[in-house]
Amino acid sequence: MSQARRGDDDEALLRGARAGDERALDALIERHHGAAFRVALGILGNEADAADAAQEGLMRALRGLSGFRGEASFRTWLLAIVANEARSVLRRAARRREAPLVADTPGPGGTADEEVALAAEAERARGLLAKLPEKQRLAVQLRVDEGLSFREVGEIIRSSEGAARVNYHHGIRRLREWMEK
Amino acid sequence: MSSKSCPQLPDWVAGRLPSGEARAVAAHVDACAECAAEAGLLRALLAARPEAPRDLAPRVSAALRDDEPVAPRGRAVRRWPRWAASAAAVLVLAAGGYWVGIRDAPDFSGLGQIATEEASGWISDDGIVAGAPVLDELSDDALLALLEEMGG
Repeated sequence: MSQARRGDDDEALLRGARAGDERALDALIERHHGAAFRVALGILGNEADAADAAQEGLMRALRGLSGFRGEASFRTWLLAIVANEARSVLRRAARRREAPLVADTPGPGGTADEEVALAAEAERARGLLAKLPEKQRLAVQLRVDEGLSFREVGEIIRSSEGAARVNYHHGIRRLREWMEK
Repeated sequence: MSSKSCPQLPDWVAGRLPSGEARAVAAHVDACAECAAEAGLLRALLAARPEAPRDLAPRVSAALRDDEPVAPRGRAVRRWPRWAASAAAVLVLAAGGYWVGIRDAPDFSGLGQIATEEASGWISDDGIVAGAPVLDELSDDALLALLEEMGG
């Protein structure tokens, strides 16, 4: 689905949800919960925490629909709220001096098997993605997984459009280097 | 050439481009080893794109349906049912009438009439009682204190 079409559909669903139409609200949840989960996962690196943060972020956003002014796309606004929620989970964990939430993933220079199946290659790429610095990781993830523009990526990672672009290219370059090892 | 000069590469790999643009990018990738390698990485990333737990959307939906209004700063507010607010308003009016009755008319025989007239005069056709919106805004503690005060 193109970004423009998605935005148009969101507009209609938003109007319905604001008017109390539960089916419109459910459709918004269905449409965006996957991206919300992946954004939270990109920050927290742990599926259980990411699911909780995504749920909290989605609820916070959908309870506060009146706060959406249309300055960004609904999707960008929603994902920025989820990202903030995930960051606050991370901060709370850091304050409690808990073990890092980032999952243990194979690092650069791991086994390079020329016969590796696509699935294993894909898992390795994802594992390496998790090793990138947060802004690079989110920039790659939001651009590739969600198809967001660099302007939208910047709004979520709290940077300019240009910085989002630079983060993406650095992330891709580094991933390619690691994948070739 | 890389994604810097082929910015549509992620959208092409993900199948998000209209067919005309997709054909143009495909032709470019066929001729550009750098973009072909990058497309391979993007394909790998997308192939293992994490999916949300299956129960996430139903959980959010159910939680929102059971939801209670949330005050700013995330503090949950328990709303009193409208009948309780209306009853409190009637009690306030009755107490006011009682006080006026004591002050101005030592003869208590008129008390019921004053209260009834005051209350019925303030109830609108749709059942909304004057004062209810104000009472809706009171916290649980403040409303309890008011009710206790009137009861005492």
